[in-house]
Amino acid sequence: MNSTKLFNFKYLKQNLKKSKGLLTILVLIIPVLTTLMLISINSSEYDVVVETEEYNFINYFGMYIFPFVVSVILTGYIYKKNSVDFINSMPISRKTIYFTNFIGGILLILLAQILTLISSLICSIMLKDMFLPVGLILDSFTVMTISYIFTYSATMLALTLSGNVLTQVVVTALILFVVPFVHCSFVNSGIIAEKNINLNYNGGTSTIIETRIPEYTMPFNLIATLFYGSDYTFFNVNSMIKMAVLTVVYCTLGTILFNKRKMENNLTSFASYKSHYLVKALTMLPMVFLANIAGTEGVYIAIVIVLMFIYYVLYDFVLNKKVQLKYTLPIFVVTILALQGVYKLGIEIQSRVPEQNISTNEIAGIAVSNNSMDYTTTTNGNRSLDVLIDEKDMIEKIMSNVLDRRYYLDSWSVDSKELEYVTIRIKLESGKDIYAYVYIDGNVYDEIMNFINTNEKYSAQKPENYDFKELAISCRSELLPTELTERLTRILSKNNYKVSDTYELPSSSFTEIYVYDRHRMHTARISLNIDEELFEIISQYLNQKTYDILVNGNSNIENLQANVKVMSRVKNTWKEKNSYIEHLDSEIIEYMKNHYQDKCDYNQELVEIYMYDKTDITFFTNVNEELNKILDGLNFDGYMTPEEVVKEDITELDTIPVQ
Amino acid sequence: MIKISNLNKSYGKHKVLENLNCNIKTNSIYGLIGANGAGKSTLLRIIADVIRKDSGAVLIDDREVEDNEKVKQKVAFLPDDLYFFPGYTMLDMAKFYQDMYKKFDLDYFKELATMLKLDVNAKVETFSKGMKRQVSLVCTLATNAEYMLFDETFDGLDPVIRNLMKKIIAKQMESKCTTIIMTSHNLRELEDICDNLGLLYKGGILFESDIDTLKTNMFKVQISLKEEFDKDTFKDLEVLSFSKTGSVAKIIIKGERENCEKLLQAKDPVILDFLPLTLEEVFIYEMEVLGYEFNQVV
Repeated sequence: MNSTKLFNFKYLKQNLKKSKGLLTILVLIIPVLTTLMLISINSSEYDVVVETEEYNFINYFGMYIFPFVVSVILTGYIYKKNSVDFINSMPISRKTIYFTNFIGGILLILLAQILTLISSLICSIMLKDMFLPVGLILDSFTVMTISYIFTYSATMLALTLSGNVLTQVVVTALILFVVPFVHCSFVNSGIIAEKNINLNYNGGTSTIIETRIPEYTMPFNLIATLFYGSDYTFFNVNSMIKMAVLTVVYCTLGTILFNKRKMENNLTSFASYKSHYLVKALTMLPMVFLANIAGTEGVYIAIVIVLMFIYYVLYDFVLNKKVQLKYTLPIFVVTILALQGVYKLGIEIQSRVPEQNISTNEIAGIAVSNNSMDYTTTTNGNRSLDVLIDEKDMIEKIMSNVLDRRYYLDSWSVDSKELEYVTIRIKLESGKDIYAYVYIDGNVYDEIMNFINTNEKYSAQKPENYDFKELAISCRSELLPTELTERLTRILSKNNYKVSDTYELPSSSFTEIYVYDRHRMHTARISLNIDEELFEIISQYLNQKTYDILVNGNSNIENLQANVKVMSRVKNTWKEKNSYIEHLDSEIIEYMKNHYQDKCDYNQELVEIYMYDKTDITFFTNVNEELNKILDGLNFDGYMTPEEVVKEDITELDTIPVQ
Repeated sequence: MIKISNLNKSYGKHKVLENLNCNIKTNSIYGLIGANGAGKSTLLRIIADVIRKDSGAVLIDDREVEDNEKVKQKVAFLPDDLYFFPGYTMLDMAKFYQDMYKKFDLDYFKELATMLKLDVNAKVETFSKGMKRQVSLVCTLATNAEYMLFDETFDGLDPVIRNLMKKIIAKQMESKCTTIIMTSHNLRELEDICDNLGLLYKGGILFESDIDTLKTNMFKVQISLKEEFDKDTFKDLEVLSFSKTGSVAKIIIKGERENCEKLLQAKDPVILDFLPLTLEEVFIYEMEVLGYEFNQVV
């Protein structure tokens, strides 16, 4: 193809000029809304970290709407006779019109995404109360730009085939969703026909259902998340390659079809009735599949068929502006039978695929990740799925202890033993990876984690080995200031970033560390009492903050009636008594005001006074006579002095070790 | 020259053009007449490459027009149903044409706009229907394209502007060697401007001729002879129509005027008057010869 002939700058300039107002609004809407959303997150009391899904919230909607609207603005002239006469008579070939508009749309997408990128980078620098990593912004820019362009190529291809805007919507949806929907229904998620994999270990067999990480295009992945509840990986290279390749294919196909398009077709849905009926039938594919899954009772089927017929007639009214009743009924019957045939064929093909049997010696390694742990992502929780255990004994142990979802659903109510919901990755000797969601005995899970933690070979692969360049630390639901974060980072660095790897932490551990690495946000809790130095930094910071709130804050702290508790630390353990006071006495407020600069000795008995106003407020102090006197005088609900705590709970204390 | 051969076009099952053959000479104004739905607009849209033919060939200067930017540079099309970009002024529209057509003459555009008293800086959407047509005409003429296709050109124009436009178009044809095809369902609208006329009927050119030949080769005669006479008396002439009231007959004769006059004088007439024929009358009689009734065709 001759690129100089395919692209006409003057035409593009004029085409953009004619809709400059609308296009300006369109290009600005995504960066503006994203910026507003980031400002809102920054002001939020609860959000300290901007996650990928949160950051791209506007983009997720924009990905479907923006490309469609751009395609209609730039090339939608084909839907009106007078504009077709005007534009097509100009000395510019149809291929050039299509390709120039295609490039124009991509430029508008790039412009919108670059503006979003710039505004987000500014937000990440200016807005200090949230953690918005540059890596996340750049990753989102890459993924969303490719996704937008891909969707645009699909809408443009749909436009060449359609006679009006509504038909274009339908055809775009079919191009984006039909093939992955059918594939996903039968094969990937196995929602229609699940396929067992038998793990044959020495002495028995466990059955799992393979869960493939969807690597479809982003527009389908998002819909599938709602439709199937399946997870997807946001930064998925395979998915991006697919989208890039399909964009080229759709662009080429679109250019050819646009050149051959019957330009006189600008009233009805399609130039031919065959196409109209085919597309209408394809839109009914999900209905037929879902109806089959939902039930087989006679009344139910009759209702579904009536509803489908109503849809069938309405479709003609809306998209084709006319209904040919004498053809509608027989074609409807044929359509339903054909789609039912497709469904049955899929089931038949699926049933003929033999169950897979895997024995221990075929397995190169198994990785296990707790799904509930990496709660900041929806990416299969596979943050530690890189750590492959290759000891055969441990592999056998895992294989013999996994329970698939069905087992759990059938037995959870009668089986009270503790189960961990995990993702496992089985790497076969052939190089293939199999993923599955399974339940595993809690004790076995602990054993696996212990095995990884104590084995040098595996701990070297552990997720703590992230790149800590993009890091944030929060304390009591607020991000620490940069200077403090840097100091803490230096301490953590000295400690080789030893962070707590478990979600069930002692109550004294309330500091979280966020790392954006490997295209994902990772979260771990770090224990406040890693060492004295760390404690000193944090306690000084929190006491200063408490002082500021008490002195300058606009909250009426004396009237706080709940959520004020005192925790005592004795013998290396924090003991929370959940002791509430009805309101803060002026004496204790005065105490906090007077002692906020005291240096807390970590090795002496400590008291943490915790309140909740609009945010968490914490004050640390050492136990002394003055404080004891004040606390004794307060109307605590079951307050015990540290000495009493020691006496009462001496046996419990050792069970909650300090990290 | 525009050469159209065996052109076919259908909209679904409805055949609009069927084996249409037509040659349009360079530097002439070709009038295409036909009833509504005869296929006039379809033919122009195919020549302008707005829509695609089903089969046949449309050659402009011996080159296929379809998807050929170089050939399309030579063609400007003014459709029946006008289109302007929303919010554009007349000057904005001209600049669009200027970006599209290499030979677009902005000075000529302004000159024509001034002549027609059109404000080039006013938004086109504020103009009346007739003014919008003038805007399109001015833009199209300023492209200086070698071939101009005007569909229902004078629709919505008042008689004064209509005559002015005809003069401008005729001048354009003469001074810039432009070939113009104009369509109308009204023959009278085209007779004083066209060099050639084609009658489109049921997807094909039923009849075409240059107007001079049409007008000079057919005439109406009012005649009375000393003796009794009837149609057979004029067997030596090509009589298209004969009617007699009393002793005076009205005859439509086709042929060279000199020869016919000589033959009629030889019959020693008492009265012999040659009366002028309108183009519509010429068409009516030509259609009758072909076995059609004019009112059914146009």
